[in-house]
Amino acid sequence: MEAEVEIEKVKKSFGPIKALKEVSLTIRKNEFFSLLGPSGCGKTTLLRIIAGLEFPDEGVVRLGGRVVNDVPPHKRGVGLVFQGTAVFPHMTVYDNIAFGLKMRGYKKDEIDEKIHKMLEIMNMPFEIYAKKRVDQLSGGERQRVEIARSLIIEPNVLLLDEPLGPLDLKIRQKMQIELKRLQKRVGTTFIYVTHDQGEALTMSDRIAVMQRGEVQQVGTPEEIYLRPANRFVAEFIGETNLIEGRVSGDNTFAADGLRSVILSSSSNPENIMGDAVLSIRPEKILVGDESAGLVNRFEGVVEEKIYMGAYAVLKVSIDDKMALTVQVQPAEKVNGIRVGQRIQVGWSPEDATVVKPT
Amino acid sequence: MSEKILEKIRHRRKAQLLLILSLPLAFYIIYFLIPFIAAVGVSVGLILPREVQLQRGEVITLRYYMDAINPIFLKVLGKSLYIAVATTVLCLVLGYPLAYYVAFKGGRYRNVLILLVIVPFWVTFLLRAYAMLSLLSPEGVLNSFLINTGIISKPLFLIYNENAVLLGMVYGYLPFTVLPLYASLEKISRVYVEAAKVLGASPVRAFLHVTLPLSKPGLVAGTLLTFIPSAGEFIIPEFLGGPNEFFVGNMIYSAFIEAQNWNWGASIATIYIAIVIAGIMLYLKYVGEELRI
Amino acid sequence: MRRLGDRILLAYTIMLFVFLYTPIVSMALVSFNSGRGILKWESFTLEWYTKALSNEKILNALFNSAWVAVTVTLLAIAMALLAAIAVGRYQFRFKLALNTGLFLAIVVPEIVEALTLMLFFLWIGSPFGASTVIIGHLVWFPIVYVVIRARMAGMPRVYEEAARVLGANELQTFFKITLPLLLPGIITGGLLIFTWSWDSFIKTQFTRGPGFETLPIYIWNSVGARGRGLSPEVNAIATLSLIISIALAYLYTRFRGR
Repeated sequence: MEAEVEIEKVKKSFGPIKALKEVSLTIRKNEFFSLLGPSGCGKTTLLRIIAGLEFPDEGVVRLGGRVVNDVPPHKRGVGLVFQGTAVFPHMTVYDNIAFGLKMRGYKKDEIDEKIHKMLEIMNMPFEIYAKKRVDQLSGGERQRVEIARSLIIEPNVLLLDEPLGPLDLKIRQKMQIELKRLQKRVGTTFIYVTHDQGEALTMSDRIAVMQRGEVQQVGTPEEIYLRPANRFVAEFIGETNLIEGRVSGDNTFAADGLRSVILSSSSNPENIMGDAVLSIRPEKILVGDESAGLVNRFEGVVEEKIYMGAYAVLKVSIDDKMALTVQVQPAEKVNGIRVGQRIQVGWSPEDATVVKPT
Repeated sequence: MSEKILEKIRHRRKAQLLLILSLPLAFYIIYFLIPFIAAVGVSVGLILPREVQLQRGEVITLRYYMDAINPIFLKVLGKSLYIAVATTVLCLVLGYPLAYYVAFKGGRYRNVLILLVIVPFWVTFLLRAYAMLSLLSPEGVLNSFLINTGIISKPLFLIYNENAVLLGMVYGYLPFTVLPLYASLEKISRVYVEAAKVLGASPVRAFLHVTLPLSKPGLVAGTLLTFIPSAGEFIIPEFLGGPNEFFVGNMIYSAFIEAQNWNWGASIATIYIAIVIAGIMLYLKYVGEELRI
Repeated sequence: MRRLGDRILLAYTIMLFVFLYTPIVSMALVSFNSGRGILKWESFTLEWYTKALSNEKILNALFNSAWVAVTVTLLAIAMALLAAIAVGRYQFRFKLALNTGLFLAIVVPEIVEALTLMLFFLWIGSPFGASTVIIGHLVWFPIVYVVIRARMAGMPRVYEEAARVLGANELQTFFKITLPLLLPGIITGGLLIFTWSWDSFIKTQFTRGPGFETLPIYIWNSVGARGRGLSPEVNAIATLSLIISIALAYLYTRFRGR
């Protein structure tokens, strides 16, 4: 796979704040790559460094193999869609999209033709939208104009900084699918910054999870969800049960006052020994008769029962030592279960993952 | 490599900043700061006049201040501050209900009302002082109207006294008070007042505990915008005051222009500026607001 | 009860507007009165206007006021823009000092500013005339700065950054993005300093040379202290100036909301 963007040991501080502590990443051509992490993790800073809006204190940035550290933003040929929106409020849709082309000296009829095509891709008929003022557009339309404006200059990389943040949930979900489709269609490399793990999982080919200026894990959505590299990733991506304890040589995991948990060979990809954290996804835990025959089986007390529509959530306490969150689907399965009742819970060894404690 | 580039960028930004800032900064320093400092210099005998300095053999002296601080000056200063404070208080008391009405009760006439508030603010101060004069003077519109309708037979002497000056000041500065008051009242969301009422506050209490405190920035700005210029007022006393209505502004003027005594003029101007700035600082400290732009 | 309160407030508001407008309206009325004095209303006439507008001195003062105000406005906008960009877009140590300093130039009473400036011109031996008047008015450029700065503070950085990424260099970004977005602030600030310059009496009086008259100076000189020289001709020219001010005030309300 050819590399489109290479980040090599990049560091960046703002005064006393270390925004990036030696980050290295390689983003391949034509992939949909997400930078995922809580606010303040450095993802936006990294994006701005790639765009040339910030300059790294140390390290190298390559775009298409070329070192671009000293290239100003207007000569990098990347697209950037901003958090919130940065559609120019004093221009029409047409002028917004034409801006990059005008800067590159295109002629009027070329610009016209390209905008026609681009608006078609964006599902915004030229006749209706071209002359509209920005304040006449909805949030979703503005976002599309901004994406169109960035794509029309045919960048090798399109950087998107939480572009769907301000939109309503429904439109956001629709736009997620549209964006993914668009990316496949135009074949541009997308680097997508988000703090929404669901969004990253849905859209990305690969994800880099970041925290406190460091990359915690890079992988496909499946890898990151099912095999988190550390406690932070396990906790940040989806819901999970975390149990602190120790891994012994015989592939078992022991937590204080509990019977040992059996691990499978795939549960411990990094071969961690000693102190560790066990992560089990709530939907991987089975209850009642369904748990019969599982090697990791415990008895506990139902403390809470929450109806969520498509599924139900049980909070189960095991000997007051450990509280497990269990997701049961469909929700009707918990109809017979009462709060306070004793219940069996269990999971198969390969459904749990051992991660480093920090 | 990165460090070199960062260094280059930093240099570039610095050069740009220098280029951008040099013109306004130089202008500001040369034509505002230096004259100001020079005037303070003159007040302590520096700079002007040179011959006197050499004769005297001393470079800095406080004797112009000693000379300036005499009973007459103190009386004029007291009177000026009194008029300025009175003007400010009257403008606030008179202007607040007006600003309140325009901000909250204007309804569909609001835009017209706003324009009515703004227009006097934009009309030359000198012109409005002149208008007041042409209304109130013995040969003015009011007197001729009253004589023509037979209400009086001889013109009333409405001007050339302290009350006329105060009236003229209030008339002149009222727009300076109302505009910032209106601007801050306009920003207050009615939701707060409604919340207070829902929580059981009477309209009066809702006003006292919600609207009034929230309009504090407007009150502060209105106070400053009125007090600062009225403390140095020069035109109104010249137009509407009698020979006894003589304020610091007029005194500085006559020291400089009529007596041509710059040391004297500069020293009273310095004292006066110091008092005004100290007053502003104390006031801002008292109301707990920052000096901000 | 509430209705009554509103009514009292309305009556009060009307009273205050009457107070604010009676003098200027009566001044304007006198300018249309054909009586020689201002003692008695006779009939409507434009005589005073034709008289005023054929008066060489008045025309000269009008012309001076206009070109000084226009020059001051343009130069003040340029300087205010530069200062606003420096403060808004660059990092430097004495930023706060600069901000406070510029604020000072607005709050110092006009008479003090005017006299210290006059002293300064005398000191450096600069000849008094139109240029000293313009410099004097330009010392007010911080008022434009304040308005533009406020506009800039409310303007997200992203527009400029977006333009950069889309391929515009720094100058193109400034002219195509920053300047148009600041325009409402530039116009309101410009209108403010235009009026300040147009209205300036004290500063002009102390920085002008003999023979250089603007409209306020003309009015002052012909009225004289304590109103000895009230005349309908002055009323006419004052009313004209009033109309210009009202037009500017109207423009200001238009742009303030934008």
